[in-house]
Amino acid sequence: MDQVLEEKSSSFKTIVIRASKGDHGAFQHLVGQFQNDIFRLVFFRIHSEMDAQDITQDVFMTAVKKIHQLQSPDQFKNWLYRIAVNKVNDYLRRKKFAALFSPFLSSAAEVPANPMAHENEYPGPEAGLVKNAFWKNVRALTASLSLMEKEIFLLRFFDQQEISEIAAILGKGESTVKTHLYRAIKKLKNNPEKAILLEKGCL
Amino acid sequence: MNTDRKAHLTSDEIIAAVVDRGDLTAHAESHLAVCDHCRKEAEKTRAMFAALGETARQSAPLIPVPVRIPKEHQKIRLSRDWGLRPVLGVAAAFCLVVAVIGGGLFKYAGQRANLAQTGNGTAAFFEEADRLVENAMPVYYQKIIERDAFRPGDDMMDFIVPPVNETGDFIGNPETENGKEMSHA
Repeated sequence: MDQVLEEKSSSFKTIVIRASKGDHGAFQHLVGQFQNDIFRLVFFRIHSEMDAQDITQDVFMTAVKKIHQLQSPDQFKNWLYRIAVNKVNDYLRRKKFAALFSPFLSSAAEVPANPMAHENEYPGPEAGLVKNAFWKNVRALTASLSLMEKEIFLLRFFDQQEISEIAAILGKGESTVKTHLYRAIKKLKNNPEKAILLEKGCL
Repeated sequence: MNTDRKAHLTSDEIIAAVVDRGDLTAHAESHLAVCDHCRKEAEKTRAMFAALGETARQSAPLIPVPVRIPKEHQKIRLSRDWGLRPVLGVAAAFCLVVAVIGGGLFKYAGQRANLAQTGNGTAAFFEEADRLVENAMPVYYQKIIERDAFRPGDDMMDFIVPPVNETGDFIGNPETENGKEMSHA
């Protein structure tokens, strides 16, 4: 079993090295492997399918331009996730900035301040309503968290990353990550209103 | 912290167990190993958040259009990052320097031409202009300054600004350091 994992890891490293040397096929292989994970990561934070698609494309475009700077092929996934997290933060900052000037800028309408603006993107009215209600609950649930607590909470439970991986993605120490995660769970668990939303969301 | 082995873990300890069970104190860990109630409580909390994450993954759409990376982005990467960018930077800097120097020369030539035209090109005009540039103050004020001005003597000047060539140790004279004095030592 360990040997199989080792072979997989070695072959993955080879692909990353080939991609970093300009092998287009190797990079396209990495894109195929990670595009859905990155798309989901972005969607979990912005709740807009169209924008998540654009940001995902942008993440991989940045990655292909910078992959030759990657020192350790083992860290490719964490590095890619870090690019995605940074892109999402840039997007949210731009959105906030546009929202400030939305009464004055007509182009601000292109960047919706309300994440529910794309609520009709889901196929099927009932499924769409259920999913929209779920994401509305998620937003209400995480509203009380600080930015770092929210990011770490999402990486841990939504993106299913280990503590060590989250530390590498965010460039923080593991103890810092654990502290923020602890605070996030405590806030969510101890708030009765949030607990109800949480149970509804899980149904 | 629980000191009584029979007492259940606190809410904080349950959360700590969800974050990382490895970080629990030995006492809490040993309690968790034997107490079904606390183990179930920790597992329930962990499962609640895990289920939330799982629902989120199921509720998120798949990527509508697969990501496509154009081939040229990888092929021209090196030339763009390490080849073209420095060349363009140097070219831009060169153009800027040429523009600044050229603009300055052009302006100076224009001013000289205007002066020559105004003064009918006479030598007297330029002498007057040069005198004014050296000291544009009226003669009366120049005399006051000469009379009252503080003029340090040569010794004072040497003290304030030591002559570099004589002492040789102000900015480090290679001849003094590596030559004669070093050889004496």
